[in-house]
Amino acid sequence: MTLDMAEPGQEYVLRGIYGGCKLRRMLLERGLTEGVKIKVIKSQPKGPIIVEFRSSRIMLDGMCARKIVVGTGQEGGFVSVESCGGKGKCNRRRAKGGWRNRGQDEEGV
Amino acid sequence: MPRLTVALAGNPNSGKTTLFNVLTGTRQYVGNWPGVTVEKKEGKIRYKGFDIKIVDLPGTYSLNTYSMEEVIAKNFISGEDPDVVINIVDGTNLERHLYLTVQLLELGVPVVLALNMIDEVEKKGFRIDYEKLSGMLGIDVVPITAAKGVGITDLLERVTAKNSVGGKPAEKSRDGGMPGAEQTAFFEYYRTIQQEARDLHTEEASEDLIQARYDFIDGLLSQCLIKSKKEGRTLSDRIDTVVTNKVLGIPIFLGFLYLMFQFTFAWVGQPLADLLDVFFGDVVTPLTEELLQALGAAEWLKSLVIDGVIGGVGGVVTFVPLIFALFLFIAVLEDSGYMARVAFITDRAMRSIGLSGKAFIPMIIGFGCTVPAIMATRTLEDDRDRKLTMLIVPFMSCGARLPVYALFAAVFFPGNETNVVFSLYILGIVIAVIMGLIFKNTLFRSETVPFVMELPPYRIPVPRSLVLRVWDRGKEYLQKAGTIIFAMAVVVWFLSSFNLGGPADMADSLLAGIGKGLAPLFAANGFGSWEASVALLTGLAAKEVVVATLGVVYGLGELAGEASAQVGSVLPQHFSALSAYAFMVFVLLYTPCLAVVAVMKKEFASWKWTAFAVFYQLSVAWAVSALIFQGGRLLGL
Repeated sequence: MTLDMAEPGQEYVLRGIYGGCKLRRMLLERGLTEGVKIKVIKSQPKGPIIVEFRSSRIMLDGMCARKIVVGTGQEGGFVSVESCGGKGKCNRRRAKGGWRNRGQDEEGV
Repeated sequence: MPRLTVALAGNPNSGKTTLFNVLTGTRQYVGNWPGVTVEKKEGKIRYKGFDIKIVDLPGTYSLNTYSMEEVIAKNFISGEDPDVVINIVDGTNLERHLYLTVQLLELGVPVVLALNMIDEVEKKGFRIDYEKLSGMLGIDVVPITAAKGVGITDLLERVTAKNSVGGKPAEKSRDGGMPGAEQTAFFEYYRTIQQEARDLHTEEASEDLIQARYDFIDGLLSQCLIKSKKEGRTLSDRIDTVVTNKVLGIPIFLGFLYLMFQFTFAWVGQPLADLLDVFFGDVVTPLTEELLQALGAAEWLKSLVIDGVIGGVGGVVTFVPLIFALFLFIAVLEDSGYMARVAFITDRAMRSIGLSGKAFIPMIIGFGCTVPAIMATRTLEDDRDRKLTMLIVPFMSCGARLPVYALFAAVFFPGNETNVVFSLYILGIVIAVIMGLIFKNTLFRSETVPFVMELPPYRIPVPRSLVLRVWDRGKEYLQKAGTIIFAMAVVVWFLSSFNLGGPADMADSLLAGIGKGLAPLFAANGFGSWEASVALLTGLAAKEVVVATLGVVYGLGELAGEASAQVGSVLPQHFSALSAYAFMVFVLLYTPCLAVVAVMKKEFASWKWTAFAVFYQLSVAWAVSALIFQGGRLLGL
C-alpha cells in the first residue's frame, strides 16, 4: 500500500518509491531508502502527513505520500518501480516484487 | 599571520546558525551569494595567531544540484577549496545527518565533525563512541553543545591544528579523505563505491550510491552509537499531538497569532513606536528648528530638514520598534520549532493556490506590515514559492492603509464603517487568492515542487541567537530608512515645494503638475482629480501619507491631529460614496510603499522582478478599482 493510506501509530517498512527521478532521489537522500522503518505519526485523507524514520520527523505532502510504497515487513522483496540508472535519465527497472506499474503516468517531477 | 578559510556545512536544524553565531559573535557580514536570494554569511575571527574566515554555507541535506542552496554549498566546497570544512551534525540524529558527512568525505575535503547537542544526546541516554567514530571516518570528531558554547575551543583547536603542520595547510588528498587514512572504514567504503561506479558506469548520485551511503552509515552507527534507553513518547511528541490536532490545531495557531499581534501592536512594539513618534515630534523637531533658527538657516533649508528629512525618515523610523517586536516573536516561533507545525496545519488550504503551508506566515505578517512580511518570505526554501508569495503578500491590507479607510469610511459610510473596512480586508484576501491561482497556472505552472519538510523537535530558543537574528533583519530596514527612504523623502519634499520658477505652494508645485498629468488615468475609477492623483503618488512613500496629502492639497494647510476631521468636511465635494470606495480599493491594492519596493528588490535580487511586481500591482489596483466604479454606476449607485 502507499503511505497515504497507512494507519497512524503503526510502523511500516519502505518497499519503494515511484515518481520521477528528482522526487525519488530527494526522498532517498533524506533517508527514505529501501527497507527503512517508517512510523506514521499523523495522517489525513489528502495529506500532508507526518512520519518518523531514522530518528527524524518529516512532513510529507499528499503527493509524496501517494508515491511511497510501504509494507509490514513480511512481504519480502523490494518494490522498485523506476530507477535512475544514470546519465540523468530515468531508466525503468522491472519490479522485483511483482508490483504492477501503477505509477507510470504519474511521472512529471 | 596565517589565514584560514573555514566553511560551515550542515543540515538545516543542525544548529549551524547557532554555532556560527557563537564562533563569530557580532563580527558578521551578511550578504547574498552572487545572483541568488540565498543569504551569505561570513565572519572573521582570530585564534592562536590564525586569521580565520568562517563562511556559513546554506543548510543542506546533501550536496547535489537540486536546489540553489545545494549548488552554492557544493560549488563553494569544490571550487573555493576551503582549508577546513566544519561539518556540524545533530548528535541526536546521526542516522540522517551523517549523510552529508559521507558526501563531504567523498569529495576529499578536510573535514572536522562537530557533534552538536551533546547535552541532549546524554539526556536521551545515547552513547556515542567518539574515538571509534573518528577512527572509522578518519577525521577529527568534536562533541559540542553550540547553544551553551560547550566544546567551541576544542573545535577551534582541531581546526587550527590541522593546518599548523609546518606552518602551512596540510596536504589535501583527493582519494579517500585524509592522508594516511587507508585503514579507515570510510576508505574501505570509498574503494568499494569507486569500484562499483567503474563497473557500472553510473553517475555519482545514482540511487544505488545513495543506498550505499546509508548502508555505510548504518554499519558505522551499529558500532559507534548505543541507544541504551528505549525511546518512549518524548515531550515533543506530546506537544505535537496537541498542536497538530485536527480540532485544536487551528484555534491554538490563531491564539498564537493573536498573541503576536498583541505583542507587536499593543504590548511592546506600538508603545515604543509611539514613544519614538513623540520623540521625533516633540524633541527632535523643535530642537532642530531652534538650532536652524539660531544658525540663521534659510526658510527652504528649514523646510527641507524638518518637513522633508525628519518628517519623511522619522515617519519610517517609528516603524522600527514594530518591526523588531514582530521579528522577535516570529524568531521565537521559528527557533522553538512551532513554525514548522504551522506549515503542517495550513498546508492544505495553501495548496489550492499553489503554495505550501510555510507561505502562510508571511501572509499573516502582511496584515501588520508588508515590509517584514516580504522579509519573512526568506524562510521559504523554494525560490518559486518565495517569488509567488512576495507577489501576493502586498494584497494583505497592512496597518498603514487603515488611516485612509478610517477617514473615508467615516465620511461616506457613517454607521457602516466596520463593514466597509472589513470588506476591504476580505477583498485583499480574495484578490490574493485569485492572483495566486492565476500565477499558479501561468508564470509558475511548470514547477510543482514536492513538499518535504523536517519537523524539528521543540527546543527552547537561545536568546543570543534570537537577538542576533532580529538585529540582522531589523538592521536592513534601518539601512533602508537611511538610504533609499531618505532620498525619496527629499525628492517628494522637493517636488511638492518647488516648481520650475522656484519655491511654490503645493497646488502649483511640480508634484501638482505630475498629478495633473496622471489624473486622466483615473477618470474611469471616479477620482480623476489632480488632488487624488497627488495623494496616491505621495502615498507611495507610505500609505498613511495619503491622508496628510489630501489635507494639504485641499488647501487646509499642514494639519496635525485634527487633519482627519477637517479633511472629512471637504471630501464630499470631491468624491461620491462610490468613487470613495473605488479610491479605497485602489489604496488597498496598489504598490504598498517605497520601503516595500526596496525590500522586494533586495529579496527578488532582481530589478526585473521588482519592476514587474510594481507594475502588476498598479495594474490590478487600477483594474479592480475601475471595475468596482463602473459596475457600481451600472447598478445606479
